[in-house]
Amino acid sequence: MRAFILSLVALAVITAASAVVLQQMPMSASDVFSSKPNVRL
Amino acid sequence: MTTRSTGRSIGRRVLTAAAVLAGLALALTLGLSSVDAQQAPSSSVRPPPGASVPGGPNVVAPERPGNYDVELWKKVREGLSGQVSIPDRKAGQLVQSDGEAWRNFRNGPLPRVGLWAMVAVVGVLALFFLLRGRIRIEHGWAGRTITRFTEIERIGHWLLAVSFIILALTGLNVLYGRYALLPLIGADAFSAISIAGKWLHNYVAFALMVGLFLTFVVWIRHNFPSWRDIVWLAKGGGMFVKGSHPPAWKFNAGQKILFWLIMLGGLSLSLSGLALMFPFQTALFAKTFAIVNMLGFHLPTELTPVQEMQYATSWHGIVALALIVVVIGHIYIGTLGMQGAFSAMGSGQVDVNWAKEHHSLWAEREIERMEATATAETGAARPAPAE
Repeated sequence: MRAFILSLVALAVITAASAVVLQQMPMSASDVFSSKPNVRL
Repeated sequence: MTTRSTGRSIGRRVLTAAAVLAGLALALTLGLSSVDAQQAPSSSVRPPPGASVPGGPNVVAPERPGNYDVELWKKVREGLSGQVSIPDRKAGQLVQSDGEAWRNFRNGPLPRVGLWAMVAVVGVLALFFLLRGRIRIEHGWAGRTITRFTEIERIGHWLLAVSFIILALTGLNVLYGRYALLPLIGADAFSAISIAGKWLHNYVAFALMVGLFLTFVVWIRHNFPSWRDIVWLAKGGGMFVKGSHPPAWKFNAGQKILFWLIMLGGLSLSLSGLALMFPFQTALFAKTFAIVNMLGFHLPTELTPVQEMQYATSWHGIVALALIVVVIGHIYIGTLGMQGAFSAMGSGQVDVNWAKEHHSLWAEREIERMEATATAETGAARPAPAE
């Protein structure tokens, strides 16, 4: 039981950390290919 | 005084006349321009082949074969690409026809075969349960236990298990939600669940990767194949005949197969998932196909970014569904299917008789180790004999 609870804690911590890190990164096609506003195409 | 007023009057008349003339000139100019504009032919109208534009620049439209449009669209459907000056280079391809084949697979065989596989495994397990019943400890509970899995082994297992179940449920919603959930809960609720599920799927994926790594590190040394695995497989693991338990170490052949399926499948899911998470930035399948081609295959090794994504989504779905089917069997045998098995991952302790029946070689070694430890402790605690 203790191992199960600890695994849930680990799951929550890893998931939260992933959310924080991934929100700083481009994760969609629009993020990847969006042009900067000062660039004229 | 009179001369000064006469001069002012003349000046006023000259200014008035000049203003009227200027107004007439402006009106005439605008009017003529308007007439010119109405008479000029529209530049957006394409003249017929061989014709020249009357009154316009002396440009002759090129002669084109009669099936020009057919050939043009044929090339377009074959993936003809042009050049674009925007950052998204894949926009140079007008029509990506592979997308049609991908969409047909994604909405046809993939969910259909996946659903049948999941239903089939549940049906086979139900049939097995009806015919064989629960696999019980044949010699009954011994009342003594030995440690099957340490705490770090169980943390790794549960981290992997819980994250896999979350990913499976959110992934199945992507594939089947529109058919199963949407009619039941309505568009608004389904949309909210699907958006939350998508983010959860992305974030929990990293917990699965950590769980995979942890279990790989702690269990790899127990999962190398040996000749005893052939014996175990030949006897069906002793699951079909009562009283027949082929010897096994900590993991039997079935568990070793499961281990490698989970590890290799999990690695493949992780890599294809990362390719989907950061789209159009990897050449995962082109590189993999190049390696596979060394074995004599002839898979395409030059893939466009869009094709890479299509392979990634298809492969991610195939591997995920296959692992879900395998894990359903694993959950069955670890809970309902076998008496005494769940405590291995629950408390970490298993009954000695269970261990002797299902993992006899491992149990003998562990019991000997326990007895040796107990003897050493007893010897150390016993007072030294008097001289």
